[in-house]
Amino acid sequence: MNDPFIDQLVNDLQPKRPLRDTDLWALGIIGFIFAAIAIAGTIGLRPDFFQAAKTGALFWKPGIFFIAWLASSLLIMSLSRPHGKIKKWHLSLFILALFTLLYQLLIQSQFVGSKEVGQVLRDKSAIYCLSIITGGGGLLLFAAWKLWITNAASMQPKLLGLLAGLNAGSIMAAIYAMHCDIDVALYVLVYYGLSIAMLSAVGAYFGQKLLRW
Amino acid sequence: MTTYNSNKWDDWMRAALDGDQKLYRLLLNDLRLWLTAYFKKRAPINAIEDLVQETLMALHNKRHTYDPNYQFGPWISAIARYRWIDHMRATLKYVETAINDDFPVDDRDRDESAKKDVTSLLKLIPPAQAEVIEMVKLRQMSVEEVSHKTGHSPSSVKIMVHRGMKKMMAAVEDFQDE
Repeated sequence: MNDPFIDQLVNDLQPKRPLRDTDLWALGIIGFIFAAIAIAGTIGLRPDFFQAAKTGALFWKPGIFFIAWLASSLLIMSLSRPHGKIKKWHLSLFILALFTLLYQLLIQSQFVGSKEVGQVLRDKSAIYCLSIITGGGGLLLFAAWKLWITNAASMQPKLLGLLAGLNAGSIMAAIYAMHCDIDVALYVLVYYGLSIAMLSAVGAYFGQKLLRW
Repeated sequence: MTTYNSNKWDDWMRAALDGDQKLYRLLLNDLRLWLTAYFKKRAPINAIEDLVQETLMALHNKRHTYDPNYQFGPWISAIARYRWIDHMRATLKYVETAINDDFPVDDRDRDESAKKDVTSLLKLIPPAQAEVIEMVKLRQMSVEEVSHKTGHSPSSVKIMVHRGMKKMMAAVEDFQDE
């Protein structure tokens, strides 16, 4: 005996391409390329680019956000499927990023005075930092949302949304770090962190509202 | 009861992703029986058909999230669990707002179903809170009656109900996170 409900589903069946992790990696790489072109083509790379390579600032600053992007990409891939689970080693990548920042904070506390830190935190460029990372990250979040996130079926939609914001913000922050010549770790923590936190909050809000299935 | 048949269902689901309607029909028919048995253990009888259909619909709409390199079992189990948790969450919200001293006559089935769900969840919270919730929400006793019977003040009764419902909601969310 035929079941009308099953008949309806069977008649509606079309071949469908499964969600592939490689697509998310490709999206991320395209995001990096777009962000790099936009930053290099508009505000340019930091003037002391080669000097920053020598001091290591060119590596640890974008590196923190590159690791955060890697970790959030792996978590998004896992959580995009109903049976996906959070793996400990994915979280350990976040800890590595946090440890790198804390290490820089500790090292810098020995030779950067509180007066200098105060001046840097009041620097006018902070508003550019906030608006570029948040604005550019917002565009990347929108693209990722349309092309990947809405196709997911997550048991934890709020967390998936949050990770999408973190992921997009991390890409933008990693690229913006190539332009920004303020290497004070507290500045990075406050302004880069605030931008990424805002994008994550937006992602979490929309994740909870729109990703239930 | 239909038992889970790993290899067969894996193959049928892979074929369904390629658009094979014949094998998709076989899969859905098998799954209907398996899901009915699955929800029979977890939900009241009048909620089972809805849960089965919602799960099959979710499978259909989200079939692209099945990775053909992995087993089908954990994937469909996760979807069924998600539908069940969603049902429990909706039930708790309903119980918190709708079941009151004035028992809605036109939605008696839903109320009975909700009562059964809540009864199973009461085991997950402290006995004192469970007792108060049972009296207020399931036996429709007034706050004053419960206060008189248990010795708690009326405001304590309200707080215990509120906290107990929150704990049950958290327990449902925990199921989701596991």
